[in-house]
Amino acid sequence: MHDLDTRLERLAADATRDAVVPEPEAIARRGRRRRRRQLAGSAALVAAVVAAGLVLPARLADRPGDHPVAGPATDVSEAGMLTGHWFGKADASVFLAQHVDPARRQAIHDRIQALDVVDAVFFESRQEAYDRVKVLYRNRPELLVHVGPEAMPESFRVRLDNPAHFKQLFLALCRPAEGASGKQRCIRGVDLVSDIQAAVKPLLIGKAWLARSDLAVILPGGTTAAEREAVRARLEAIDGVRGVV
Amino acid sequence: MADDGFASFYASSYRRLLGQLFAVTGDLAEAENVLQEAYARAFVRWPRVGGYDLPEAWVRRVAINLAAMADRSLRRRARALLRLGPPPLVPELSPDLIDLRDALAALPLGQRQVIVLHHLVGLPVEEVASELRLATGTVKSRLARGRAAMASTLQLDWSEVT
Repeated sequence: MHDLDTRLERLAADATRDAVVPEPEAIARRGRRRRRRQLAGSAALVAAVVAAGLVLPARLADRPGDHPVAGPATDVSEAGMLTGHWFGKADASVFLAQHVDPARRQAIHDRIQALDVVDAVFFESRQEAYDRVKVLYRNRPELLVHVGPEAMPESFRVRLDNPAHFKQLFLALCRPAEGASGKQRCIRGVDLVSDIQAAVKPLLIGKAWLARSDLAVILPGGTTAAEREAVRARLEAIDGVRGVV
Repeated sequence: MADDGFASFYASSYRRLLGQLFAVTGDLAEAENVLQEAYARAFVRWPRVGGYDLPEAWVRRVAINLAAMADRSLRRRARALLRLGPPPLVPELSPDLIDLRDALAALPLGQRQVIVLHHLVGLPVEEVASELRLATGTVKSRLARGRAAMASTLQLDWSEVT
């Protein structure tokens, strides 16, 4: 036995001589707590992504008639990933409560459609929402292990004539939350109404950028410098774009 | 708790692993924290981890990795220290062991890890390498450098031991 070995053994033994060994039950509790936090974390992440509609602030995508010089939406969305199916299509999300019968769903749809500020209304089923999230997290499948389509909410995705009119849509369906931590109170069958643009910005953009920019185009990993410059050129060519940083 | 072997595995290995982690971290509270976290992770995966040849090696590897992560967040710990005051005193040790602990703690983490795994846990160089996902040459050079540094601090000659 070498000198260093024996000394290290004495060190380890002496240092832990008075250590208290916690009950195994305490270790088990710690493990279960940790697992619950993890599950809650992945659920919250999925919820945030669903709420965001996987959409970037969509002003750059070509809307017929809005930005005649913008290229096809696919160009922008390929560069700007999170290729949200809703990219450029919707400004607001109306999430339905867990159990809404078809008649009630139709009534909510009609009520949204009837609003002056609403341009178009799309329905997204649980399965469609799940498929979108699955594509987004194809590299992190472990996040979805405990989540199935049934965990996804149904939603209407609403395109407004002008995204600044979100408030009119909101007030037609909900009353604002009271107090900082209060929850929105919405008509029966509606769980939540969220502003896609407002929901996405803080997810994707550092807060410092919020003050300086109106929207972000996120490039996927592995984008080459040439591709980056091509995207920049395309962006700068768009009417109404004042600067690209 | 159902008796699926976790409790007895835990009771039989805790103190030994704690000593090893103490040698890596140089701080008993930190060693307890990462070790208990590692056992907690083993507990929730026990159906799998319990089937391994050496669940103890799994727990040790997780704890050593956690210790390395904690080591890298020095700034966070510095803030916590400001907030909470000095860390609790380490257990009473004889003067030569205090010197040994200090000499060990003065080594870079990478050298401390290989010294503990090789000299305290008793793993051959190849197993130390696979445990830490290092090349065996890296393990050997870290061992040699770590030993040399400790020997000069402690004014001893360990250059011949392997």
